[in-house]
This record gives sequence, C-alpha cells and structure tokens, in this order.
Amino acid sequence: MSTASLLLDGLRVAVQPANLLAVAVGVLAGTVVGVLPGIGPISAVALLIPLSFGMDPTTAIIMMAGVYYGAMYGGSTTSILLNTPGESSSVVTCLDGYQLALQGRGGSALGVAAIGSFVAGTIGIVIMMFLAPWLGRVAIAFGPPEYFALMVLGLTATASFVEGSVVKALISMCAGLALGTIGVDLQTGTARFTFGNPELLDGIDFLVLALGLFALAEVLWESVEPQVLARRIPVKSPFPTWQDLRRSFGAMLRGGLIGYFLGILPGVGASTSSFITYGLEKNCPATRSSSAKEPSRGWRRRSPPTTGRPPGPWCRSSPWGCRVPAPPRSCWVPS
Amino acid sequence: MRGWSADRWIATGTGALALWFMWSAWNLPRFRLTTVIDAHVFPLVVGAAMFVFSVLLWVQSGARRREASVAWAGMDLRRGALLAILTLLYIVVLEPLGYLLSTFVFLLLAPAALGWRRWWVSAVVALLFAGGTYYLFSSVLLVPLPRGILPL
Repeated sequence: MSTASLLLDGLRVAVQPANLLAVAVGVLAGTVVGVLPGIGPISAVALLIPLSFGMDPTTAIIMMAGVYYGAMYGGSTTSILLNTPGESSSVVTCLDGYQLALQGRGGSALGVAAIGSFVAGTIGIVIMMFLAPWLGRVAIAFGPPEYFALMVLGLTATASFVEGSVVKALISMCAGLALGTIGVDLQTGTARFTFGNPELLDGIDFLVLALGLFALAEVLWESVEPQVLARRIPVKSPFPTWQDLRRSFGAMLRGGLIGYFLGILPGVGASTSSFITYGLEKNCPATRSSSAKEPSRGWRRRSPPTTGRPPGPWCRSSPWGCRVPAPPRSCWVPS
Repeated sequence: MRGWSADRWIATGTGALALWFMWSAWNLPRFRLTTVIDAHVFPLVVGAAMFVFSVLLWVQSGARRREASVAWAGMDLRRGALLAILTLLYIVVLEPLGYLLSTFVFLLLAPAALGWRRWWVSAVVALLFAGGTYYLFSSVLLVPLPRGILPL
C-alpha cells in the first residue's frame, strides 16, 4: 500500500467514535495529571496506563497518545500560572510565560500555548508520516562531533537569555554543569561527588533541579514580599487575540520544525530542544528588536518546541522501536 | 570587605566553590585500564572555567562597588526563613509521619507563617488537599504514598 492509502486507512480507524472518545478522555486525563507540578508526560502516561487495561490495543495506544499530549500541555499551564515547570521541557515556558501571567495575560499565554502545541504537533506528525525513514538515517548519522556542537549551541543559547551580566550567566552555567557531573560517570563507572549516598548515584534529575530553582524560589520570594496575601493579579481576556496569534504563527512553524528535528536525535532531551529554539527565537536578527520590548513574543516563539517535540519520541518509538539508545520514554510503546 | 558589592561576594563564593570542586575532582579514583577520558577530567575543566569566570566577575565588580543593596529593603525576611524551615521540616518528617498527616500540618502552618490568620479556612483547605491527593494517588492511580503512623 502506498503512504497515502495507509494514511487514509489510519484516518478511518482514528475517526471511529470509540477512538475519538478515547483520545478525548486521554487528553483530558493527561491535562489534569500534567497540571500537577512536577509530573510530566512520562509520569502521566505511567500513572494513567491502568486506564487502558482491557482495551483494544489500537484504542489504548490512541488514548495514551492523548494522555501524552495532554500532559505536555498541562505542564505549560503550571509554568505559566505558578512558575512551576510540570516537566523539563516546559522550564523555558516559565521564563516569559509567568511574566505574562503577572501582567494579567495568563489566559492569552495559555491559549497561544495550546494553539502552538496543536500547530507544531501537527507539523511534526505530518513530517513523521512522510519523511520518517529518511530522517532516521540522518539521526543515526549524527556522531559525537555533531552532538558536541549541538550541546555547545544549547549552552551558549542559554547564556544568551540573560539580561545583565554575561559572566554571571556563564558562572551559573558552570554550576549547572558541575551539578550534572554528580552520579556515576558513563565512561568509567566511577561514582562522582556522591558522598557515599546511593541515591545520588543516578545523579540529580533535571526536573527536581528546575522545581527547586523555579517553584521553591518563587515561593520563598513571594513569602518575603510584604502584603503578598493582599495582592491580586489582574486577569484580562482568557483568549489570545488575532494579533497575538498572527505574530506568533511564524514562531510556531519554526519551533515545530526545529523541535521535530532535534526530537528524533537519540538522547537529545526535550529541554535541549526547547532551550535551543527559545535562544534562536530570542536572538533571531529579524525579530530581536520586538522581542526585547515585549517578553511575551520571545516566549511565544518558544512555546511550540515544547509541544512540537512529542512526535520526536513517538517517531523514535514506533519506526525504530527500542533499538536506538533513547530515554526510557520509548520503551512503553509496544512496537 | 565591608564595602564589597554583592557581585564581589558572589565571585568570592563561586571562586572558592570552584577550587573545592577541582580539588575533589582531582581526588577521584583513577581508572587505569585503557586511555579513556577519566572521570575527573570533565569536572576539572568545568571547575577551571568556573574559577576563571569568578575571577573575571571579581575584577569587574571592583569597577562599580557598592551598588546599593536596596533589593532587600522592606522585605520580610523572617517570614521567608520561617517558610524555609517549615519546608525543611516537612521533607524530614514526610516519611516517618506519613504523607497525610505531614501534608495537613504543613498546609495548616504555611499560610500562618505568611500572616494568614483564618485557621478554619486553612484547616478545611489542608484537609481537602491532603485527603484528596492521598486518595487520588493511593486509590485511583495506585501509587503508594508514605503511610506513616496513621492506621490507614
């Protein structure tokens, strides 16, 4: 069968009422669980997998895909409203999204995040359907020098976010890298900086670190502010305006494409791709002048890669199964 | 030292931290089988970079000394400290006392630490949140949370 007829066959299965219901239930449940701070799509899928017991395998996979996407979006909700990343890739959403919420534009930010999620996610899926084998070869051809270059790009992009002292940003970056060395060294198996504590052998999870840096810092900062309980954040329109959407559309497309490509590389985390895309959007010469004036645009440009990434792991999990050394996310999908 | 700016303090602290990090990295056990990049190499490079940047910050901070420490003026640091201590205590007692009891007590006391005095509202919210999340995780999602001393 050609790709087109396979697609049509897939569509026929997907639009059956039972499957549509399953995906709706999955997205709703995924969003509810994903909204809990610190629970990302992987944990959400793991938690909600009992829901799919006893179901037809196709319906179950459709439902779990809904859970994954729902939790991905739920993570950005807490980032925007509470400055608490739900999962590692929505850490970047905190940077500008929370500032928007403080200005009373949280509703607009959530709307753009949802639409960006849909646009970038659809781009990813369409590319995956037509180009997966070819992109797979590109991904496997990615060697150590390319990975090294990508990591350097990610780190320099992070250092470029700062407004103020670049040296302090570089010091923070080194502190982050230093924390990253905690745990068992992958080359030699030596336990580094664990102080005899077996729980540190696995290293410090990025999400735990992000929660501490963003959520705990936010709580402590709020606690020392006078009259914090009396403060009210104004809520303007809960929907994004046409102008907001029009301006962020290019960012959604770029984010979807970059997020997709980085997502298919084995071992490149969602956080890396969202940081790189945010850095590129913030420093893109064509749009930099406006993003400096209005943080929201920098953020909107970032919003898609978080959500545009899901096809990456899905892509890895279905065509290649677990052959590619990938994070555990690929292992739950029966391939 | 009294005239030091915040940046100079940060530079001194991170410089000392970088030296300690490099020293600890140097003392890591060596791997002698093959000529792989050993476990101490990357931390040494990171530590050295951090030290260089902190020296740079130290030099830079000399140029604009004493740039006002007004950021903390008017802030209620006592409340922040109270909340931090409460959070630490919560982490310590979570497993021995159990999720339900420790979360309830934490949610009852944390708003009070911030100046909230309507105890019954705190009590209802704390009870609903602690009970609701405990039920959700232990009964619906089948994820066991620490039970502690309560007979559940």
